[in-house]
Amino acid sequence: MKLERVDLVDIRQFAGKQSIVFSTDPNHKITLVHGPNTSGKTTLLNAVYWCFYGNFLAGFNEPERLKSEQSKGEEYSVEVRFEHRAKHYIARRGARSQPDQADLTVLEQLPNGQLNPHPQPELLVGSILPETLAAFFFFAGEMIMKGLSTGAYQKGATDAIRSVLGLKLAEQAIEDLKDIRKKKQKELQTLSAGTDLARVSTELGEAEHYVETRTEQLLAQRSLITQLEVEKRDVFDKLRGIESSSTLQQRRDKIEAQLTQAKRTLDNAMTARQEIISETGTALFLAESAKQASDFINDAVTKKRIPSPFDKTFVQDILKSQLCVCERPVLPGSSEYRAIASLINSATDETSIRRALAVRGISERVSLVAGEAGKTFNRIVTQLTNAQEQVEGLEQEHARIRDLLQKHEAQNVRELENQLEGVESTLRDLIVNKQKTDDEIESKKLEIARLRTELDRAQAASPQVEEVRTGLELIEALISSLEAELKAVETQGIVRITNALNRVVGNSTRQKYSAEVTREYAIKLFKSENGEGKRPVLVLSSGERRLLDLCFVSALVSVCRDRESEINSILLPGAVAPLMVDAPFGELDPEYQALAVNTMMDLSDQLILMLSKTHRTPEVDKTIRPFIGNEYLLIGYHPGPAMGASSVQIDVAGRVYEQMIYDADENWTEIRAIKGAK
Amino acid sequence: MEIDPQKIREALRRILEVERDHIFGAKTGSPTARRRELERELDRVLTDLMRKNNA
Repeated sequence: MKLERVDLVDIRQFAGKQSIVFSTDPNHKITLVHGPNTSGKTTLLNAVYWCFYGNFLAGFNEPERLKSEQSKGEEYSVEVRFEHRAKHYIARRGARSQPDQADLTVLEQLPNGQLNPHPQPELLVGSILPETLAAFFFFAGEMIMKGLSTGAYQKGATDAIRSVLGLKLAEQAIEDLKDIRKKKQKELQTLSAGTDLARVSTELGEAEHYVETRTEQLLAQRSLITQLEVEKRDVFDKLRGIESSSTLQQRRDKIEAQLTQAKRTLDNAMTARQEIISETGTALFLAESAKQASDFINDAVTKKRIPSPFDKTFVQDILKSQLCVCERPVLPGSSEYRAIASLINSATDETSIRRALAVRGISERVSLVAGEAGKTFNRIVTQLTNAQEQVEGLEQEHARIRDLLQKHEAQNVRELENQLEGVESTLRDLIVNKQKTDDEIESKKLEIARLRTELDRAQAASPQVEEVRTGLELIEALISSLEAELKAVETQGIVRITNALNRVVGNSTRQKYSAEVTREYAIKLFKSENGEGKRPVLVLSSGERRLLDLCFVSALVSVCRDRESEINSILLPGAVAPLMVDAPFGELDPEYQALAVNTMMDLSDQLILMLSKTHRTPEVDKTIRPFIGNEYLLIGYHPGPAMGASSVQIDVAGRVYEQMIYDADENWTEIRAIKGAK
Repeated sequence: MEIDPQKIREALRRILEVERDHIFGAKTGSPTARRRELERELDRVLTDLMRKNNA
């Protein structure tokens, strides 16, 4: 998409009809608009946005007063001509009353010159550049996602990343499917009222609702934990930056790192102890009995009771045949018969020998396992004790540092430390609550699985019930499928945005910074200096913050562009659109301004820059001058006298222009072309 | 009942089409209208599933 022209009719300070023709020349891709503060740069940006979407960008003041106070007509409007994939369109939004009651029309300019109204103008605009993405292409530097890279960024950054990855489509679908599922569950309850099925369905519905609600709470808890962690790091960084507390804070940094490691070792040892108990606990418990059994059998073997000198079958054969091996008769009732019969009790057969030997084998194995387990158990207990001692020692040292900082002579240090204690206390409670929520959700999920099995059994063979149930199964399958795909796409997408962010950060900052987007959508900035390796930048200066904001938006735009040609049915498409930027460089260090503008040029086929004098530094002007196609001035007309106000002048390519005219008939702003289309 | 994965894919495609239409043409349909349309799509798939199952 490329913007060709905008025509404003009675929009705020732009009285009457005024126009800007945008440069579409790929070699001169910049259209530059110079305007002092309050001359209407933000209005211009919002006029284009309003034309497309009927809304305004965040921070645009008094949008209801869009109509010019000097207007002599009834209607005010914005018309934007643009090109997309070799087709030319005219989008127009005009209103007679409030701006939110204005309709959009889009005309397609056919090659024969005819204008063809598009039947669904919103659909067309939305398919070229969805509104969820437009905020990254049309943005005001002063207002851009305020605090994106600070502790308050979480929601803004999360929404931005999810929009750029196109996840909103699938998320909306999941939400809708869950809503329909609830409806179907109610239907099923009505159909099976009074039966066991009704009870199970109700319980299942309640359990699922519980999981949904608790999951929402879990997400909120996670987000809050991330925010508090950022806040904690902010305080750490401030304490590190104060000379009198710096050494103590650095000591605490080390203690915290060691404590994390020690707690991990302690956790591992506890897990190992748990595992060894569950795997070999029975052997340990039976070890003594096994030893006794083994000793008993070994003793019997030693005393030749096992195996016995008499075979049971051999003795039985003699008694049965009533004839001894020495061929003497063995008659029942005789003393010989009784003597031989008494041998039966001490005689053994093959089975009893096998059993006795098996018992001995098992007993010996149990003793062996118990012996080994005992050694391992003792080793783990030693590890556990050591880790516990280490954790306790580190915690004492940690508490000592806290105490020193709380009693510090400098008031600001004491205040920071007390603030930190509050944050950490809330954080601890939150982490416990989060774990509790996690456990409750898991336990409820098990209950859901059990209820589903029960529901299956309780299902009557009624065709109506069967149909609703199949419908529910279909919805479940759709939700699972979408969630699984979404998760995969999200994971890949975060890697992609991190890569893009690092490319942009690398290009814009001469490799001193690098950035990372975490799985929780937190953006972390790192700085490498004097070959010391990278360290996290926890407190950003306003310049660094603006730089990170710009880099982040640039990375998002870059991913949007890359995704434009991708086809993925579960995602919203990406987009290629012009960057229209109002005052982006305000708080950037001069060395970064030119780099930032270069980054923007790399990212867009068309760049519309609106700059005041303070943003147009010599570095910026030098960088962009060769690429400017069209150039405009916003000239303010003021009805009163100058009253001592100094003149507002601007020097453009060696020529000086007045940007404020006093003693004018009316208060308005003129858009005057000074280069390119006039 | 075992649902044919092909049917799930087909239903998914239709649902996303409806969502896409409604997101891009945000002014043309309320959430209720969107969900009603989704339900109709699901019912179509379901009717087909039941017919095949009974055949």
